[in-house]
Amino acid sequence: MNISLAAETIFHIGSFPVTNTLLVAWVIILFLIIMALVVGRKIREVPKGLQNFVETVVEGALNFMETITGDRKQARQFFPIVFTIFLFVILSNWVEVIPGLGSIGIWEEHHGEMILVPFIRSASADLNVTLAIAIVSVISTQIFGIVALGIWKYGKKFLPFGGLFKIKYGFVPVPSFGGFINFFAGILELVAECAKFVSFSFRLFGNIFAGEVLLTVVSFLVPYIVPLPFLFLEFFVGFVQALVFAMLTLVFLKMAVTEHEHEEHEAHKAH
Amino acid sequence: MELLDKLGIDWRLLVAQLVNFLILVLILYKFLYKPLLKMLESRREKIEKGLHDAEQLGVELERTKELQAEEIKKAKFEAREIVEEAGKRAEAAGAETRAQTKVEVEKLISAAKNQIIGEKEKMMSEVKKEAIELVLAVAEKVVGKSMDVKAQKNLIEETLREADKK
Repeated sequence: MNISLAAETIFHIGSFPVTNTLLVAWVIILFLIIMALVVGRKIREVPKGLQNFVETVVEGALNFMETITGDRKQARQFFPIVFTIFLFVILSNWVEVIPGLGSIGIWEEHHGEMILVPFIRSASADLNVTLAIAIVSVISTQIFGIVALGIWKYGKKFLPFGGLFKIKYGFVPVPSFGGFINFFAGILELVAECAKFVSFSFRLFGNIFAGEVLLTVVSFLVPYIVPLPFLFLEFFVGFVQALVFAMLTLVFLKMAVTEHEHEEHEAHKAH
Repeated sequence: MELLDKLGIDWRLLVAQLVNFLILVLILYKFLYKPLLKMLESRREKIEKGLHDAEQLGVELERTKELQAEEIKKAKFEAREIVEEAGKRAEAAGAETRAQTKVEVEKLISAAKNQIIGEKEKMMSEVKKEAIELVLAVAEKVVGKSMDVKAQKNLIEETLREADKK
């Protein structure tokens, strides 16, 4: 039994390492694209076959998103990014319950030891994948925020210079206590924004990697029956983690396009 | 850097995954979400419009029904009024005619009665006169001579009185 924190490299293209998670990600992406092409090519007003299922899922997700954003237009705007994250993450999470996960692979010599390099590894159990999705999530949040509010207003969320000094007696700038507090809060927000990369990627990676390890260990200890409840558990965890990732992205998107009400109150008081 | 290496983070893989994911988003957006959401929206609009139209139609129908019922009620009322009026008028006309007829008939009857009475009286007096004359003539023949006029008159009157008594 070998447990590696990093995804295992299966072969190289030039110097580019092709890992098992990259392969799995390709398979998932290929699967989703084929589904999209099959369903999207002939969409009808009166649904038929597969379109029924896809429609149900899409509409359910859209309605759910609408309850969170409270605005159908916004829900539709955020839908592509949030729903794609959900689809990709849930599929890569569920890869871990595929039988033969840790057992089919190639034997390689590593540091003088023969170890099994499995072909299949849940894509979410690779920090490269989770970090990539986290980057997409956080960067798109910034882009949506800037597009919705304008760069000046959006930047003020993080660097609220405006309230630092108050003009008194017509021309004397006096440092304002509230302004400094605001500025500090803004800096904290900036830090929190950066921390999202870490929290997003490590939350997903941690959960799925731990699940994979758990399944490997349990299957190693008791090969029959006993791993079953753990498989169900991992199925559930995979769903919940995908939901958490997508919903957090959605909530951050919603927060990014919403103006800072706190500041507005402050501004009204100052007038 | 060593930490990242230990965690398995390789910038080449990271970029590859990032690009993969972005391609996935783009393709799904172009080939699935966009047409599907557009279709869902248009269908929603259609259903909404259909429901709205149906509701409107229902309201219209209800109103028409109400209008119809009102019309029928009005017509019934009017018809009844007309019939009543006609009945009244007919009755009035009938009564008038009857009264007129009655008056005329009465007139006719009384006229006929008068005539009959007149005829009867005339006849009676003639009959009496003739009877007396006959009696007198018989009496003359029996007695053989004529009475004087005064006695004759008295006798006639007495006889008449007696005849009346009978």
